[in-house]
Parts: sequence; C-alpha cells; structure tokens
Amino acid sequence: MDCKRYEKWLTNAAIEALDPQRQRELEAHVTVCRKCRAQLERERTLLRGIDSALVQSANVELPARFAGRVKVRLAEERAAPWLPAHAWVPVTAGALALALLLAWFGPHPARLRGPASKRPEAREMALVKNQPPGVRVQKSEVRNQKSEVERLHAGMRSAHHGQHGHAVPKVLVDKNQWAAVVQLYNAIWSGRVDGASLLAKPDDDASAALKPMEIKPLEVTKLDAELRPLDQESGQ
Amino acid sequence: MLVELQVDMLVETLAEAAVIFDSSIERDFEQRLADSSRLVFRVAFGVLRNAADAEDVAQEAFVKAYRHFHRLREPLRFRAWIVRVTWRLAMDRLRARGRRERYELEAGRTGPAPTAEEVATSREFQKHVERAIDNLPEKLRLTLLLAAIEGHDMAETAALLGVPEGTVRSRLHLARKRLAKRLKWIASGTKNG
Repeated sequence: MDCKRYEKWLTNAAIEALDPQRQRELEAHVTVCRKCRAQLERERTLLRGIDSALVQSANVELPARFAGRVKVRLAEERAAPWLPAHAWVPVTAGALALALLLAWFGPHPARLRGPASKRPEAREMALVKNQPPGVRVQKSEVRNQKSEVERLHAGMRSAHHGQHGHAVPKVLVDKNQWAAVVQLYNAIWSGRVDGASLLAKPDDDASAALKPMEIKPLEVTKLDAELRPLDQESGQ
Repeated sequence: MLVELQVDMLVETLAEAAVIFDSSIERDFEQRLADSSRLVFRVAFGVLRNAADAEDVAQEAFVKAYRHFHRLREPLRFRAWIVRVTWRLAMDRLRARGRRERYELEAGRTGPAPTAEEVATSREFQKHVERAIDNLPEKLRLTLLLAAIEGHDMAETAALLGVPEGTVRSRLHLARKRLAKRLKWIASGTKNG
C-alpha cells in the first residue's frame, strides 16, 4: 500500500479541507490500512484539542465593573485641559500675533494694497476718464524727464490691463509741453486735481452738436456816393 | 484588610456612579460600551495574555472611540472599528513590552506516556497552542481569535473584519493547518503515536 501518498492528505482531512474525490480515496484507504487510520485519528484529536484551547483562550471573562472604570477615565479626560501647560505659551503668542494683524489690516484693507498713487486701478481710471481727446503724449521726446517717464510707463502698463480689461490709448505731447503734462498727470493721480473737472461737460457737447449753425449775412461797407462809376470818367 | 477592601470598592462604585451621561450621543456611547466591552477585552487579552494589560488597552480603545464617536454611531461600524483599534493598540503594547515567553516542557516525566486525548486537554498543551497562535501572521491570528469568540459565526466575523465570508473561511483553514503542523510533534510523543 502506498501510504506516503495518503500521509500528505491527513491534515487537510482532519480540518475538513480535502476535496471530495481525495476524501473518498482516503476513506477507502484507511478502511484497510490500520497505520493510516491511527494517524488520521491522531490528527483529528489534535485539531479538536487546538479548537478547544482556542475557545478557552478567546473567551476569558470580562473584569468586574470594567464599564464603570471606562466612564471614570472618560470623565477625567473631559476634565483635563485640552492643551498641556507647556503648549499655552506658543499658542497664546500666535493668537496675539494674529489679532494684531487683523486689527491693523482689518479696518483698512487698502493698506494691504499699497498707497493710492500706486494703485493700478486709480491710475487707469484717471487715464481713461480724464484724458482729453486729441492729446498725444510721446515719452521718447523727453530726455530730462526719464524717471518720470519710467514711472509713468509702469503706471500705464499696469493701467493697460485695467478694470474692464480693455487697452488704454497712449498719449503723445509736444516735447515743450512734456513737463507740464507730467505735472498735471501726477496731480490727477495723487488726487490733488480732479481730472473730471478739467473736461467739458458732456451735456454741453451734445447740445452744441445739435444746435444749428447761425449764418450771419456778410456786411459790405457802402462805397462813397461821390465816387463815379467807371464808364462816366471815360466821357461817353 | 477585609474592611479596607470593602471601603475601596465602595469608593470606586460611588466614583463610577457620579459619572452621568446626559446627552443622546453619550447615552448611545454608553450602549456601545455595554455591548462591546467583552469583545474588546477578549481581543486585547488574545494578544497580551495578561488581564491587567488587556484591560488598560481596552480602556484606551474606548477613550479613542469616544473621541471619534460622531462618526461611529452605527453599531456594526462601531464594533468593527473598535476591534481594529484594539488589535493595533494591543500589538503596539506587545512590541513595546518586548517580552518573549519561553515555555519549556516539564522535565523528568515519569510513568506511562499519556494518550493523545490526555495531551490535548492538558494545561501544557494550552500553552503550546497559545504560543503557536502568537506566531501566526496577524491576519490569520485575528481571524482565528474573532471566530473563536462565542456567539461569532462566519458572517459576524466577516463583518468585523470587513472581508467576505469566503476569505474568513480560507483564513481559518490555513490558520488551523499551520497550527496542526506546528503542534504535530506533541501528538507523535503520545502512547498511541
């Protein structure tokens, strides 16, 4: 009898994990083989012992008043400060710093954005609203106003992508008028001059455009009555 | 001595009674505590094999559960969550303890060799089984432990582990096979071996 073949199946048979075909073969073999039958019985006894030990090990009794002690521990946890003592200093310092920042910037959010004269939207609005028609400013014609030009250009670049996203037209001026225009521009930016007040009121322009033109007759000075007509001088 | 013990017990009981759960969430938690205490303690004991350590770990698991209870009010979800947390806490405690239990067979046995049945029911064998279980991979060990707890069928074990029943079945087969292989040498030394 080939018992070696069946020895490998004994453990699986004991834990009932052998496939049905092999289970039948093994049962047929152990009917005639006393050695394999005894071995299979030992395996089954071992597994029963393991299962019993497992159940005994796993089903220990809960200590008395366990739930009560858990509740006491939870109450202690709730009563304890949520931060340890040594953590209060950095937390308090951080909270104070945050409060100071909010107090400084909170009522004056513009501080975060910088001075009014440097705000791109203020410059853009001044350029778009207050630019008189037909005035052209050309930066390349002014050499002694270089710093003013660079500042103006920076402002115009930022104003170029202004509030409404459309381009602001460049302004060209005569070189002799450059200094005056830059001073006016700065005055409008800083708010010292109200640019809107420099422009003609739109209503006047509209009404002027609609008013019909008055054409007066040409006044011709009367000739002197003593002057003779030309054909009388010729004696005819 | 006896009087002192009684006074201690009285003080402890009064302290516990003073803790009142006074909101619906806390009443729910108290219910979960009552339902799951035995399970949690058994999981912890299954790892640590020591009642004091197991109780400490079990208490810690419930404290953690209390902090997260707003997410765990559904009973099955709570049980599965607390089993996992207890297992992890117990394994961490075991590793921190760093203790290796060494068990040696009683030396100088005299008399006739015991039978397989006698061996399988002895205290010695119990310790051998526990040692063998402790050496199983974690997944097999936890599955074996949960399945062995009374009242747990395949479906309950699968729900606690968050795996299909087929997975539980195959893990149990593998775990028992490994234990049998590891402990076979005991059976071979018996009278009918």
